[in-house]
Amino acid sequence: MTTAIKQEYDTEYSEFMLNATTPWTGAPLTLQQFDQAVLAQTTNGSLVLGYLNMTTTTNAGALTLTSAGSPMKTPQAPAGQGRPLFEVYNWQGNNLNVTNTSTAANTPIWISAIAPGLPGVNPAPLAANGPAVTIAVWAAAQGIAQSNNNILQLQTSASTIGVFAIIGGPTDATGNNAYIIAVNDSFDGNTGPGTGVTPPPGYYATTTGNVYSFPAPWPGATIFVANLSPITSTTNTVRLISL
Amino acid sequence: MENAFMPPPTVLQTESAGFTGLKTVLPWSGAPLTLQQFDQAVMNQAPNGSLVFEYLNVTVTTNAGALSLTSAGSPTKYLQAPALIFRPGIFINNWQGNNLNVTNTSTASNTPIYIAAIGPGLPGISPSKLTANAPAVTLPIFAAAQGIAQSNNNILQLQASASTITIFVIVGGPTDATGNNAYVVAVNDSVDGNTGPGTGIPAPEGYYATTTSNGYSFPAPWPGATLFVANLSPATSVQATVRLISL
Amino acid sequence: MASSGDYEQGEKSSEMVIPQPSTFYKIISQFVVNKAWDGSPLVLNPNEGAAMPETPNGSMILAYENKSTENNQGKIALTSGGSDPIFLVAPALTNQPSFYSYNWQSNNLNVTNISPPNTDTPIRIQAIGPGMPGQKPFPLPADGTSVPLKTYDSAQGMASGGLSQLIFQCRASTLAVFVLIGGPPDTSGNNSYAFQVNASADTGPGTGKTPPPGYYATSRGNNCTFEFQWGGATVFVANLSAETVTNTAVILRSL
Repeated sequence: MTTAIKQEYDTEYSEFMLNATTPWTGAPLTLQQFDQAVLAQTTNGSLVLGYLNMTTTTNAGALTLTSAGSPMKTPQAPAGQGRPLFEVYNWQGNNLNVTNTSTAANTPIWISAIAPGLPGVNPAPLAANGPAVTIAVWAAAQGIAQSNNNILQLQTSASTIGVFAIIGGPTDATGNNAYIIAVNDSFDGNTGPGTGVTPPPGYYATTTGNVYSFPAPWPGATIFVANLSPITSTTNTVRLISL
Repeated sequence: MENAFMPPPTVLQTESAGFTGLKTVLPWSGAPLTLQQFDQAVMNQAPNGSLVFEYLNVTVTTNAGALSLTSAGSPTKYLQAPALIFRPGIFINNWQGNNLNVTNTSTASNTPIYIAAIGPGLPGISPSKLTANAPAVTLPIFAAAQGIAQSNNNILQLQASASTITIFVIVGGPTDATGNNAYVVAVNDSVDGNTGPGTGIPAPEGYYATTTSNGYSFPAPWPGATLFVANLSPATSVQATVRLISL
Repeated sequence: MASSGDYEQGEKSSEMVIPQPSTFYKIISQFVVNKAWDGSPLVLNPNEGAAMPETPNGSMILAYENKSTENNQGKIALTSGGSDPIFLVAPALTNQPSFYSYNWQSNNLNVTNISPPNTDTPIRIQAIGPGMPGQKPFPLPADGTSVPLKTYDSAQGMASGGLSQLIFQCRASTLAVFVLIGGPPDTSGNNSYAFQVNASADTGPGTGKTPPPGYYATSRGNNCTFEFQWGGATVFVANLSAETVTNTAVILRSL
């Protein structure tokens, strides 16, 4: 761009450039167009980032993720999705800046991010073969798998969608070990292992039922389970069964 | 002909005397025990020989039940426990001296499952003496009798005086390809009828035979073998006896 | 055009010269918190190192465990003498030691936590082997007595001259890991063996299946046995299972 054009561009759009830069803990936040959330330090492991375009119009949304010197990521946030989409990535302890770079003004995007040990996340204890633990939105429970074969029983009591993020066990080829599951998901139906249907991007499985049994064959591992539902009125619980 | 649907049997809860429902992991000797959803029974050391594992979904609703069995590094064994049937499920296995964990992994909360396991190597079992060609020996629930077959051809005469189903367990003789030598016979079984050897109808899964009558003659062609016979009925009101006849 | 002479700092040279480690590393071995590490359990934060001036001239096991409460993957670097570093990943939230067995032949050993700085990635290290200071093995009688061992516990005894057997045991449905040091060294000077019980398969000698890397044998059952005849040798066993594993024990007996 020439200097003149750039000056005009800046003048024309200055009121829209970076409306707000918010220091961010990962707690649920809605970014308007050009808002930015800054997570100063991530963990050196899987970070689960959920996002949902909340527009009441048909405006397609977009986020831009930048971190240190990494190439930027630009997840798309289509309108009218019945549940969040997810980006699971290891930002290696660096910062993570999330900017709403949607092209239309009326494109608010809900975001939420979580990982074990992120400041502000204090997981409740999850005892193996103990009672189910209730987890509020952007809260978590954490426990240790006692057997070779373990089950995480994920349940939501309401009729609205419940979204769980599980982090634990060995990392895969991409270096990640996070699993996203949606229950009460009439939008996607039954997808994932055992259904023959590919789950939505970033998801491990979805079900129309209100319970999902997630297998966790990781003896001794600390397992972290978070509630990343975009709706506060659901009661989500998790139970750890070590067989 | 009795109605196939019977009220749930009165089960012994010897293991769970004082069980308040708050503990979910229970040390288990094999004695009859009812597991609520997510309860787990743990046997630290199963016998190194055939063990007969019995299970019965005792829900009063239609909730289908499920059990998950784990042992050492073996893959999990899943058992389905249908509701509203009165004949217990049977799974015979040799856990080779390893631990055995049994967890009620039913999907609905009101799905209690009765479990019991017996075999000659189980600690805490003191079989009474079963003498060949002597009077019949009474077998209370979860008790056993043991004797030595004196002839090439022997018969174990299994008898139950009550009209409710009675489950006999016999362990003895050579082991089969799976390493087991346990046999389960149900008498007074009006629902399954006569099944097993000589009837042309396969016995239910895990069973050797069933009969509608209140007696069964089990052939034991194993001269010199120690024969172990137990009563694994899930109901308390049964009077079961066994007689060993060496021909 | 090649220049002659030795390398001096600041002087450009087109001749390749191997720099000395102490002037080359900026992090490895530069922030040593224990210069005379005797192998006792020690937690290193990122950048911190431990220096063991002299290792045994025999097998030694370095156990390392990432103690982060976050899912921060950790990494350590090992150097000994003038060797190139060995990098070992310490996965997060496993509650279980990883281990590296080697014979450093009396050389020194430096262990540095090279996880990203300013992250919460403490790594617990411990050197395990017979005679390591800071370690208190339980007595291991050769009469078949069962010796319970928790994670990081060890037991040491004397096997008889004849055929003997070690039994590694865990009565539960969860993986357990044991290491053994003893007997005649192999051609690389090592005499350590690692075993798993409650594994998903029987592997190792007599099974026809190759064990996982670093392991001598695995058993699908609660017990894994090891028969040997070392003529009255010291037998040293340690439990390196996940810290929540219970009902573990070792037994030594003559056959």
